Amino acid sequence: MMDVALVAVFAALIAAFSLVPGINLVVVPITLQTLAVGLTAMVIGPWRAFAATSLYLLVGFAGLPVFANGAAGIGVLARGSAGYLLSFPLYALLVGLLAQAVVRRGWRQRWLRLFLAGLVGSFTLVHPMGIAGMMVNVNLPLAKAFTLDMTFWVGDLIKTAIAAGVAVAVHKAFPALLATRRVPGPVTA
Amino acid sequence: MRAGAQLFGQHLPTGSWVHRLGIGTKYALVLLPSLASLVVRQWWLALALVALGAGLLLASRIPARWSLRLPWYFVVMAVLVSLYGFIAVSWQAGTTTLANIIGALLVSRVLTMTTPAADLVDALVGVARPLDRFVPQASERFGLAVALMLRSIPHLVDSFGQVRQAARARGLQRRVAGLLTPVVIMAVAHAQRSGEALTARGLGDPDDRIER
Amino acid sequence: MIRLEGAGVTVAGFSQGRPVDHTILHPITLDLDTPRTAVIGANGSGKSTLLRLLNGLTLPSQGRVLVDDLDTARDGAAVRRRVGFVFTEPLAQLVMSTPADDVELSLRRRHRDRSQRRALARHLLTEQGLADLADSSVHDLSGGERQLVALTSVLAVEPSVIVADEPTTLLDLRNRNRVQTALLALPQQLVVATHDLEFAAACDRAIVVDEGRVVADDLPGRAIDSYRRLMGAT
Repeated sequence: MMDVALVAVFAALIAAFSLVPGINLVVVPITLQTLAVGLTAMVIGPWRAFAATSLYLLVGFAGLPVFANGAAGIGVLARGSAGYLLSFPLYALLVGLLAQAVVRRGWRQRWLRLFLAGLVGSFTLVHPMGIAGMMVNVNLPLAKAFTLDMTFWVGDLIKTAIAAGVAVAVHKAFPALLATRRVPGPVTA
Repeated sequence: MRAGAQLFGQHLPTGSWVHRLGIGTKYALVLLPSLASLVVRQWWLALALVALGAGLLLASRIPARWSLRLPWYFVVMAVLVSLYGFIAVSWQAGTTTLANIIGALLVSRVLTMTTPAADLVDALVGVARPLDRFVPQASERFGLAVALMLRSIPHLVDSFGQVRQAARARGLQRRVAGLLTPVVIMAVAHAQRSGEALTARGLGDPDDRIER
Repeated sequence: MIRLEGAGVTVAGFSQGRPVDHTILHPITLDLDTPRTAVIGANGSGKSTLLRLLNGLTLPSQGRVLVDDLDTARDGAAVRRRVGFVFTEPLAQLVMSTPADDVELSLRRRHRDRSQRRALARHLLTEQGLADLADSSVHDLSGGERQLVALTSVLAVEPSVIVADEPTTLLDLRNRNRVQTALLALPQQLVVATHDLEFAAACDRAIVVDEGRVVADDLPGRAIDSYRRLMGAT
């Protein structure tokens, strides 16, 4: 049940960060939402992060107002931001796998490697899917969608850097979270 | 507004026939037309989606100043987003984008404004039930995860507020990472305690109804 | 009836880069059959671990723990049905958003009918004086009210033993009294860890734990005296 609880609480974290006021940038609301998705991927590992982001999307699609600006329902799929939303589970899986490798191998320069892992996920999945979403939903040609997507790059770099920093601190506090095997500690559940 | 209230305060009961529709019917009314319109992308279908959403919301007898009100940031976004279609492609393309965004919002509202949140959760868990055949306890665990998630949102929003205040008191509010680290550490600790409590309550244990 | 047979807990840890075992609880053998038993000890003494052994939340690294002759390591689910556990922090153990829903969740196993479940949940909450709060958000309740809801949810499973780990530590005086009164009034066997020596004195037996060992096991008056001497507060 520990896995269920981690998945549920991190889905809640993404929702909470989506609801905390952020900045609106015309097409895609910039909130702490993507930061929370990055954190989830780097902190709880690939499969739990995949489950947490999927749970977040499912609950939102089902009609509970957990998306940015209190939006809810399948309606968000009509928006320019649909591609970004749908990329979350895949991003969480990929970045989670990379982050897990970084933590398990005990590599030095953890922050830098986590930061790079986050960027790999962003630029191979989030941005391409975001661009595709804008092309389909808003009729933008590739070049325009790409230009618009570029406006998020700086914010993305900053958010990934912050997420990596926070993740390093959290793994120091909970070394067992991504450990290779369960540490035979007192908690067996 | 409190996140908890925000989360569950969308349901506005009036007892209309729209409210009384079965949840399956409501989901069908929301999902099928929205998806159809998103896939087909025709201006007339998108306008029909707006008409469907507005019609059902009016029939729900929820005052239109709530049910049909569009937040200003939403309007600004929708107009700006469709502007490109109007200018560079055709009026049909612009109309499709604009009407799809507004129509999908209105139709979604039919669900959220006429259905208690608990019923939405139940429906979601019901959809997961067929999975039980492949993964034991799948829908039960899924239901617990949804419930625990919704319960934890206001808790996390509050802990974010507390950390922000504590940081302000120490004059540290500038560093975002410094603000977020305690929130995430609290979240992990909260998850671990909740996981233990779930286990201690025997939730997620194999079903024992037959045994008794 | 709970019996510990040489039950001890060690965890793997690291010290200066080398793996070492930390002993949290040295092997303990004792029977818990008194109606109300208090477990007292300093923070980090191992009393939480001792309590967690009782319903299988922690499994012993050596020896075994038996609840009505069921081994916690082998019959975990059956043990958890017999031994209910109340935690220190009430908000972590409430799953649902309202007290009524949370109690109903505990009833799901035994009562299939939803309306019957609903009525029973309300009845149980009324018994704890929480009828008015049944449909409020658990987030809006006071700490004591949350703890009573948590207790009601645990009782709804109809356990024969209640284990409570510092259930009043986070509460103010009024709420502390309320939760303490509710716990002492239970017909079930109670095992409670507490820093509140008045609460311990109201039990029938007190066990003092220090540095992972049981150092006193006696009537509350005498056990509390030895605890006071131990803490250097004579």
